[in-house]
Amino acid sequence: MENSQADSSLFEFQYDEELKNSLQGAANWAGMAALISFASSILGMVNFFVQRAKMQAIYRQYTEYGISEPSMGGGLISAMISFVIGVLLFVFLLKFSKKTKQGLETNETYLISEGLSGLSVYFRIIGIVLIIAIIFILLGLLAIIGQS
Amino acid sequence: MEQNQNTSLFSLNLDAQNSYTLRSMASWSKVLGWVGMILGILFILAGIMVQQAMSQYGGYRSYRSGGISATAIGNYGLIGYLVLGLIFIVTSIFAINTGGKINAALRSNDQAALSSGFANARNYFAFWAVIIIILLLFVLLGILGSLG
Repeated sequence: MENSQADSSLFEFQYDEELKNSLQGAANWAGMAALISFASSILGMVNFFVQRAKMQAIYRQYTEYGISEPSMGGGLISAMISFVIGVLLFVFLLKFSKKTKQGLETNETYLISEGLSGLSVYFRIIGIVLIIAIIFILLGLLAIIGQS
Repeated sequence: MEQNQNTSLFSLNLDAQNSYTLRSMASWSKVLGWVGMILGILFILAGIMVQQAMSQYGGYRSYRSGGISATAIGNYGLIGYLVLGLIFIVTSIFAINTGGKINAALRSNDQAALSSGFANARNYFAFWAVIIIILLLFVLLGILGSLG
């Protein structure tokens, strides 16, 4: 009896109407953001190949003058990395959206827990990606300061 | 039995697994928020540095770019970096609030704070969804312009 009282005092939260609405809202917008960001990842890849084809067509005109096409391998690699990260983020954000909405509809706590774990991974991936981006930006800024 | 029937609509309770997942999600949300805040400030600083660097070329006009001066290009770049930096700062505030309120809720068993935390998460995803839609439109226009 005492243990259950101690347990219930730690975990007193019940998913009341307000909490459910907030969670539902977060899940709905997360699902929308996931689909839109996935679409933008695909469009980004399409845009990369369109721009690359355009550049290749321009350089083909100047081949006879001895001007060779620069390597676009680096651009392809960064585009692929961006696409893979975009897909990963889409998967985990969609997991949060679907599982949370299912959990709220069926009153299954474990589904909500699964959804929240997906959200945790999503935040983790973005956090790590942004930390790497900060490092690159700092290196770039140091290079600019060093040159001036 | 009757108690279970009465709570059947709102029988979702926060258990130990949920609590751990929530805590992890909230922590990573705060990390993401602070990292995003730093990134936003770095973007603004980078914009100022680029604007200063371009201003050094003064009234040099590039005929290839339609007669726009280096200073004007620098100013446009500053505006772009400022907008990007502000976007990151605003979304980071939502992420920090999400993590902060959920952690506070778990510490003090505050139902309202938990609800507010998820409301901030909803705002975070809603904001990014709108921004990505705008970016998608620009990318689409760019692709259509390239194909046209």
